[in-house]
Amino acid sequence: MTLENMLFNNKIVNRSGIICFMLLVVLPFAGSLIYAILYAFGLTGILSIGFTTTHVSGMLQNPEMFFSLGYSFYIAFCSILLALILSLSGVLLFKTTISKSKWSFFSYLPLALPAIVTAFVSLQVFNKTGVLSRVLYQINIIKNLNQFPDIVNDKFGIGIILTHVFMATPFFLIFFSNIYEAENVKALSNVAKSLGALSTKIAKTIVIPILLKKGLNTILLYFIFVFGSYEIPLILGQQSPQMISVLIVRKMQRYNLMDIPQGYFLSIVYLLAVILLLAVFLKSKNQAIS
Amino acid sequence: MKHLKHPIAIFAFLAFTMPFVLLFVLSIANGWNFPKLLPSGYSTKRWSGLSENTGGLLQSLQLSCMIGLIVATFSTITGFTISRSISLHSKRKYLLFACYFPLALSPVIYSLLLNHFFILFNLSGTFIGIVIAQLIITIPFGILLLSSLWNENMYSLEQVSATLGSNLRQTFFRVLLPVAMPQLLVCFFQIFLISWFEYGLTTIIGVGKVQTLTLKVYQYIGEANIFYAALSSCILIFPPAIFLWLNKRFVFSKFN
Repeated sequence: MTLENMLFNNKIVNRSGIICFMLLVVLPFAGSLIYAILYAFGLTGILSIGFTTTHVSGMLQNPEMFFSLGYSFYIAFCSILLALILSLSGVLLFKTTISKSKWSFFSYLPLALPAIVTAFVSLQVFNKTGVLSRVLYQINIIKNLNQFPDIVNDKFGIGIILTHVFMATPFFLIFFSNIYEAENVKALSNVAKSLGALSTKIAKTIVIPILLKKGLNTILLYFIFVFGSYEIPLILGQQSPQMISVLIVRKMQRYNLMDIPQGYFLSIVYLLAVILLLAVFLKSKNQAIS
Repeated sequence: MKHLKHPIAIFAFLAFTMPFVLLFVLSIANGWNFPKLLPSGYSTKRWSGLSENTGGLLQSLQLSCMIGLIVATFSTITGFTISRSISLHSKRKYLLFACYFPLALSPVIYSLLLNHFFILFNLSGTFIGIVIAQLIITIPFGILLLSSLWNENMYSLEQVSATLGSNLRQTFFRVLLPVAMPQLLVCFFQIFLISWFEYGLTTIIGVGKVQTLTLKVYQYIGEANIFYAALSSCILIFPPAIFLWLNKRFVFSKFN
């Protein structure tokens, strides 16, 4: 047996790896997508009546779907934007201290919080009888509970956005701090400084563009993650509008069986939105490589 | 050091540690009526009740641990082997791209779409069903994370090892595995965390029968039992926080 045959062209090992990949990764995804399409068009399911576009047209005429998609996009956009502003400001201020100093463990600490626990903490901090309202009451800024604004379960999703920002900011702080070091941004900034550039100019034209360009793929993936988040809007959101994940679960887990095909159709719309965002991700990734 | 005394650094420190402090205080609180800032009393009875499996928390802890360990071990091994096969495939770019789909999808929506098949194979509401459902998400993650291992250096090492007379087994265990160990550890730890924190998928596929810690937290929040919700949250977050500290303190510093 030659060396080549033994290692690189070991077809049995490689083929079984690809077969496992197809079985464990591709098949579940393709199977669930096909089943969702069949269900949405009435070709399978308990109340299957043959091919029909009733469920799809019913859902398309219902503004709930568009509101939900728009609301999810709004939450994801605001959360990522605020997290980026905070984390970039943090990196500009503290540079690599965030991930390199002996105290850096504390910036990693929020990464040990799952979404459901973070949502619970937000509920305990921002609700009408939470920590924040108690502090404001004690320092006489509010006189009674009604004066405290609705931060959780509100129609603007402020509680949801704040919770996502709290989760995303430490992540992006560490991420950008690592890019700052890996891309040798400090040296570039020093060169610009020695040539007479002001700190704001260096930040605007060197540091932020490098960090954003290098982190674009991760930002996009995090956007997709927030867009489809479930636990946080489930605990901190309100009945209407609902984020897409919560709405789909509500449609598919209801006792009304007629809602299930609509839930499957919503899932297909969500899948298409994710595929579109992933295509943008792939494009930007390829551009980054080239 | 000057950075650490900056007011923003102090605020960030307080904000990042606040959830841990708040949850621990609530887990030992006896009552917390408005407008008091601090609880009216403290007691360790909920913590001591853990050993008697009060509310099934100990059982949930064992269950979450077991699922996490099985999922992390299996996904790391599978990810390691499959990522090698993919790296040698002519269409590796597209195969790796396919791995992003299960990861990018909301786990709760993906599990709703998969649920029919789990019911069909009698896996819904079972321990093994939860493990399989989590593997469907974590294996692509493992593949993506470990795909960067298979570069020219790794193949050169394989070739050198084979040239010096080692067989596939020796090459795998004595050359590839030690080289890949830091990344395998990172992969194992991250997949354990994904499994440990998983809620949406577990609640749909487990139909409430497989009560992991995240389900307990949600159950107590739903019951407005904030003290037990805080206790179960503490059990959920303190082990990863300690694990993170150990990782940062010993494992990564050693490999770095």
